[in-house]
Amino acid sequence: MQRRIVHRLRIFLLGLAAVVLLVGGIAVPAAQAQRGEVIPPSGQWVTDQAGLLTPAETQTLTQALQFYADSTSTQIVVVTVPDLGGADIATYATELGQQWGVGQRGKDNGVVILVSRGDRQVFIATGFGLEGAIPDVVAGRIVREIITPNFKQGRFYAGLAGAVDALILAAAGEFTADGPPSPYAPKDKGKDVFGLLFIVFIIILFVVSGVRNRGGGGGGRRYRRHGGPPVIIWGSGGGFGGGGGFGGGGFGGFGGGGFGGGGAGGSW
Amino acid sequence: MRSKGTIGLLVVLLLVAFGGCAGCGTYNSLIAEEETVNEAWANVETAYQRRADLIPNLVNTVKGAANFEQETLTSVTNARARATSINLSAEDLGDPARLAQFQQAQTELGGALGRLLVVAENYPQLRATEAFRDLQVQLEGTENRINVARTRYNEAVRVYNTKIRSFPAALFAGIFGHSRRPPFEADPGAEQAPTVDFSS
Repeated sequence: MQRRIVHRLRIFLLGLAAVVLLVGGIAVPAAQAQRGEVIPPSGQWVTDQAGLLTPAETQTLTQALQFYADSTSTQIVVVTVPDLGGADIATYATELGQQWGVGQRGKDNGVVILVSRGDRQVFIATGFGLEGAIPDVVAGRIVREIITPNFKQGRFYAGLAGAVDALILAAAGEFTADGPPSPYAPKDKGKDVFGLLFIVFIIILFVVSGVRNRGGGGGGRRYRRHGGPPVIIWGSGGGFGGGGGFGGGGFGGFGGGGFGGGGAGGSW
Repeated sequence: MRSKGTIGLLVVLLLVAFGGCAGCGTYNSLIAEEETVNEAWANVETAYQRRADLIPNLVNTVKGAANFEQETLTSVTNARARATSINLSAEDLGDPARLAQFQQAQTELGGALGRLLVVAENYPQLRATEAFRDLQVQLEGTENRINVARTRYNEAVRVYNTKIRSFPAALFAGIFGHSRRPPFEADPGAEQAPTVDFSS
């Protein structure tokens, strides 16, 4: 008698569990269905699908952006695509920033510089948190005065590096909308800032790797985001050295920043 | 025999408790979805407000250009007045007619702005000024934000509408007064007009 009841109870519970599972399955809707399709996150600061940059230029830009993100938590990514397949560049850049989660969650301090080679269009999308420091007007001036003049002459690296410099200054509050409309010749002043950033980055890399080597295992392990000493990064020319999988050598992924359509663009 | 009754009671209790929990969970998630919709709506209104706030500035800048077509300016100002007079609260969101009214007014404003920018093409001195260029960029930015806010609102509405119509939420939705929310309909091109004209 007792046994039978236990048996029945067991069956009943099993049935209940099945129903719960079933309901759970139905209740989870296809949350992510529509929305613009963008290229999947590359996990890199510079994603040059259009082939506008040389590997060395990509490296330099990558290191500057990495250093900048490490020191300020503001994330700037550069993405070039062959074409947009008819999509609006502003929408695409915003959606890309949102879906990749460029910038830190809560701070929303990400920037996407998107270039479409085929459409000859460029757009700087700013995250929610940067709309104050980099208003659309400033982004528009950076496009008009730095990016398009350089791009027209085929100098893609100069345009992008100059834009990154200007964005960094703007985010620091130094490049304001009211300032003189500086042509920001990428040849002289722009490169200086960049070179300086680069040198500081190298020094820090060496210092950090030295400290790590001395420190040995233990606590250091959690922060092993760089795959190895800088030499390996150099040699890999495009990809990153170090461990397998996402974040092995680049960075630990984007932070989940939000984008709401801020920024400005133009065509060349 | 007695033990059988106890177990039966236990099972019934378990069922009730489980049903209650599921009900609470569903109810809470419904509320969460509803809040997402309301928040998305607030962003839509902010985006439209941002555009409306830019217009006085734009009109003043354009007025400065020697005898700019007065008619165009007046139509923008009037359209702005109409658009800003319609505000929908969260309770109005379930009413398709109210939403359509709101959308219509905003579309008209977008159209008037688009025409103004087309007319501005005839004033090269105006277009060459830094002030006008900056305003163009800002307007473009508001249009982008409006697009983003609307898309996200529709997204939130879609999730919410799916939820209240699917099991088990459908059982509770009616009781607690959750009804379907209409999404934004795609505009017949008028809303897009300003965005398109800018880059040329």
